[in-house]
Amino acid sequence: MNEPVNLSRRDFMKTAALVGGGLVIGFSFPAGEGGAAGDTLVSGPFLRVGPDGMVTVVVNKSEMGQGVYTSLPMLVAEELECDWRSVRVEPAPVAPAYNHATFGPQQITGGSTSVRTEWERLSRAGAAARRMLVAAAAQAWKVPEAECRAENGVVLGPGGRLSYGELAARAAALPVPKVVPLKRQSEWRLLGRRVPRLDSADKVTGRALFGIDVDAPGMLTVLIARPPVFGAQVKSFDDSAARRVPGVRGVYRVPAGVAVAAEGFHAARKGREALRVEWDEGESGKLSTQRMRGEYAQLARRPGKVARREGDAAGVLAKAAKRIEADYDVPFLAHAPMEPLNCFVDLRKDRCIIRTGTQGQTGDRDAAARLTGLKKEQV
Amino acid sequence: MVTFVVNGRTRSLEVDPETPLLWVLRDNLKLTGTKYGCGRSVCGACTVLVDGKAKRSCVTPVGEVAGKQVLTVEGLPQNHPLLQAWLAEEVSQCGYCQPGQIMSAAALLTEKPKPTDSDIDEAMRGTLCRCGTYNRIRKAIHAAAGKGGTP
Repeated sequence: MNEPVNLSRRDFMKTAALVGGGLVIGFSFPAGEGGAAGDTLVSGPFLRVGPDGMVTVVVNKSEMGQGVYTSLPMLVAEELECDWRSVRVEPAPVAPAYNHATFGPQQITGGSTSVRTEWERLSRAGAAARRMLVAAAAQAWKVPEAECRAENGVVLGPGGRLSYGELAARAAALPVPKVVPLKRQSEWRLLGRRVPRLDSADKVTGRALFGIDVDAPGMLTVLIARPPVFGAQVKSFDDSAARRVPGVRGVYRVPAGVAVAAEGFHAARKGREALRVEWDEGESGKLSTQRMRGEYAQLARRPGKVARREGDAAGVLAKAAKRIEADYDVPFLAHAPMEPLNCFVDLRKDRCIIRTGTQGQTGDRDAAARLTGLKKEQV
Repeated sequence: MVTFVVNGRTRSLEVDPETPLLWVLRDNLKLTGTKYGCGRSVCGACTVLVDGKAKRSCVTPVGEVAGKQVLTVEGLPQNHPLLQAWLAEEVSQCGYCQPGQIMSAAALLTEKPKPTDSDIDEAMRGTLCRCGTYNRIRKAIHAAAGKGGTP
């Protein structure tokens, strides 16, 4: 990855403009010729360098343990040449600028694609910002850029040294470089090395905020009574006892079953336990593990599709002195993390705020807009 | 009214004494470090220390801890050997189970300051990790034990 990358002003501004103003808390996108507002250097929608030297990387992928809150900032920090300790992560809002680079017009995390598909634009953002910081120092010292170099969060040159924080405002006013060379692999200081994860400290101290930890004044906890089999429907329910449980504020029929809203988890669970629901189990009611195993065993006896043919397995097996046959049976494994699925919703007349752990923000946002009748921008 | 000490601070709360300690910690005291994973004591995410012993707070009624000392992950000092070891070994992936893992490990090191691998297997078997960080948890416990990891 060592060819210079062309970065026209039009691409730069276009990317920045796509981050709808007002949707991002604390984000000021470029205005005018340079890449900045005020004293913060902004390099597209993914990177800001503040006057305090803090490097904020906006990450458009969901951290699920796979490490993108560390690996994606590493791509930026490598080319930016900043001190790793000055880097912090800001989760991206839902906006087209943050859409998946190859999965169509949606913001989504999956398929082991994050590092691969974000490599180019994150590296570019870091490299562009580095060039602007070097140019700012050269300007301040009135020397050629070639006599300056960026290293670990400072620019060194004939005038001495200036930190990125000291240079941010001046860099912010500079034009975007058209050609931005990326480092040679031999020049990497971070990539390919073990670097402390940015999220570990919060995770071991219990400070890390998971979806289920979100709290707000007056928030209710809702638990749903779900059917014992997939696809079953509520035939009838009696919520008289549930409504009498202290703390229960409402009981509602919902597509998934019957929902109990209460003050706190304990009251919600007691309310749910007090429900009497009659289910229409439908076809799923007739399924059983035994029956499914029987069906699979029958299917297994059918000839399979040939994926690859090498040698003569059938012939060798037929002539073998000893043949071993075995049936292997594995239980159903739910594709589920330790955190129970959950979602925080604050729904008002003209807006809806959702806080949840999700891999598909755009899909969630669009679904919420459909359900509430709000415009997408209001979610 | 239930009175108990949480992370060194005395709390008196008007709560139904049947409320699981987990939900008093999370909903009433806003200490969300202790996690909910199953609500039936089969996953260990809710593990806290009560008078130094590991307890699954999701099935411990808060009335049972009246007058006792409760320690949650938020009560461990930043330089605690277990926290340091967890960071040095980069144990966490998604991180959801880790407070429960750390508190279970803290209880283990109180009983057995230099646990063997079987001690670790036995003590930690009830704390599940879907990301599969078990090998690093083991390494971290050994590392913390080397430095005297009692809370």
